[in-house]
Amino acid sequence: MNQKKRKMNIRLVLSVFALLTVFWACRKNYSNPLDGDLVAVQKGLSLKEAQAFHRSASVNFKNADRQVMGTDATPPTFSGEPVVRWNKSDSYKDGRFEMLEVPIWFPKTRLTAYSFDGNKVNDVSNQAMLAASFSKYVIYRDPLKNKITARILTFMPDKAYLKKYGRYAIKNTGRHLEKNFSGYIEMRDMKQKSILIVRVKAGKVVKTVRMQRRPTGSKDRQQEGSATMSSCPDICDPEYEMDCHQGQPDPDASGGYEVECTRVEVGVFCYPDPFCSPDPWEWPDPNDCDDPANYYLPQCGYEPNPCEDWGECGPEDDDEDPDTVIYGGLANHQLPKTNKLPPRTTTDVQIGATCVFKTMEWISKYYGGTTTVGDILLRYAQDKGLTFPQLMAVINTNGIPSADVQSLATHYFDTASTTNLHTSINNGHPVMGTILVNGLGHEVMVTGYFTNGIMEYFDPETGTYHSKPANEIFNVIEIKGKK
Amino acid sequence: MKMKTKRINATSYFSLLICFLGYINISNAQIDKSDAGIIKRTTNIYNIIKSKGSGDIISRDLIMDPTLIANLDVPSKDAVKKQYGNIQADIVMVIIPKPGVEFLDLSQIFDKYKIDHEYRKYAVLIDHTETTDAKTLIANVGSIKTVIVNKEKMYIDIVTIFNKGYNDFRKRTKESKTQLLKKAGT
Repeated sequence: MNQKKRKMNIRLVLSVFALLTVFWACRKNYSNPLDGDLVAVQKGLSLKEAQAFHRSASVNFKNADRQVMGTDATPPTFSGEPVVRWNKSDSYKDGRFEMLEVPIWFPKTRLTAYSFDGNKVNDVSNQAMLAASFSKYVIYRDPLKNKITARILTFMPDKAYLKKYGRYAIKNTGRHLEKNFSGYIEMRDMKQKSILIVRVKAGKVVKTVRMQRRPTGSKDRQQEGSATMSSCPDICDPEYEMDCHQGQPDPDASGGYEVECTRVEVGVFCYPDPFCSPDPWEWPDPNDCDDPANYYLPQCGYEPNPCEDWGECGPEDDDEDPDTVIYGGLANHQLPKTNKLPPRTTTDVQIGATCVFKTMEWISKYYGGTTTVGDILLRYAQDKGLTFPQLMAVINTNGIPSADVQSLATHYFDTASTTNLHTSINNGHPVMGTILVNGLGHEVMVTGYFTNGIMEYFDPETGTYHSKPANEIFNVIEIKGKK
Repeated sequence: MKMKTKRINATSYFSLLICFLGYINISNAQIDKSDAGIIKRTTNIYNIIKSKGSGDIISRDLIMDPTLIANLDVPSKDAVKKQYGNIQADIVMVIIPKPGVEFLDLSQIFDKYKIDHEYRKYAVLIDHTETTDAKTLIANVGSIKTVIVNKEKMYIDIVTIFNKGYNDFRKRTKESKTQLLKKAGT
């Protein structure tokens, strides 16, 4: 037969591929392949709504004014009519929340010079550190509760950052952290209640801790320690009262001009050492989902976006410091080999509808294995006598039978049936399980549980951790090790 | 005599992709929409077949016996972007066939099954399933059972040796779906 030179006519078919029901095995990305990384721009809270909320809620600020010199167990941190620079507002959507963020400053503020890591630089003073701090007023609506709430975010560059880069960190926002920013962000509600302190290193959120405030007192308190936590004495750091007023125009400053402040040390602020406490992530009442402080808890429906709470979105930098990668989720009780768990957020997510296969790849990694999605997919296709278009078409419509998942798992792993996910986690064993997402099946890796019993799992599709009650995870297979 | 496909390396292939962008492909445009039995393609797949010494072949519609695959890699989207540029696909499969595996392209398949040139403009199906870009279709030798021309509905259906297992697989997955829904109480 003549070997003719054949010309292969090629066309790139730019078709919108179908939104198919993905059942047992996986959801898939219902995106037009042409869309690429394009994401629909979603609107946040409008300026009009935010200003209306601010007017109705300003009573909280006034209450703060009355309490400013008090000695309550929860002392106020600011007072006076705040100055809100509405012309610098930024409206956006973060997860399900509709946000509006705007620079704010207070005529009188109290701030603590925390002695956390990054602040142990002798040649940068507390005064200089506090002078570099700035605040953002974040007003947001939770559509699920149809409720608008506000928080104050105070950005405090740490001393190490200041020594290296100087004072200007003003371009950081709740929405966007600059890649070199290191410091702390203290979140307070409008009633002066400290909610969170977020540690940021190199533009990434690396730790989020709940601060339990002790009464502000004199320096003598530092020697007293804590009567309630003798194994973890309180930390007492100097607290400063800041008197601020509008200064010279400065385009780099929030609001377009300098805010000039004087700082006077007024005592110490004592708090349990968040890194010593038995459980620094323990919340006073984690089931109270009406408490704004708990909105950021998974059991209250919060799902962190892939960029972390306030992290920087976008592709990972090639030169990213590997030390900044956090492995494992947020659960109080996690699998023991934390550094073998999937990262807190990762772009290494399932391709198409391969959640069963990707979940198995992550579990293989947990046990030090090298089994890949391709290995498992190939074995499965060979076993079933299917071509890949056929295999993927089926997975995308109905998934793969649960019996087949079981047989695949037992081929690669030592498995056990389990009826108690908590016991499996306590035994140090990850669990494969199926969850229902919008009525569709999706395979995940169960990695831990919270004190209130809610399970935490790594989702191979989103590349992040989420949570669900144990009775909403089906077809569970405990993985005891690799073969 | 065995037929062998022409090997095209990845770089030149992408150039061709660009050149032919916008070219109207008769293979995909004329499926009779009244035929509800045609199975829709659900996944946008690029198959990259790597072969020693003869470069890569990219096929959107690959018919291949998986037992003839030596290695399969399903790279992440980041890895695809780095290695293959701007491929926009749900899945990219990088396939290394076992030694000696040979492929036929679409014109070779038509020649082998003596498809009249008059019908070669018809839409092409694989096991009654839509193709994505039939011009890039390749099949390993021995994977095709027969080729059927439907003149009334104007399509050519390439029937593979895998079809029996496929139907059984679909049936079992549907049953599993029902069971899971029952278990979930929905």
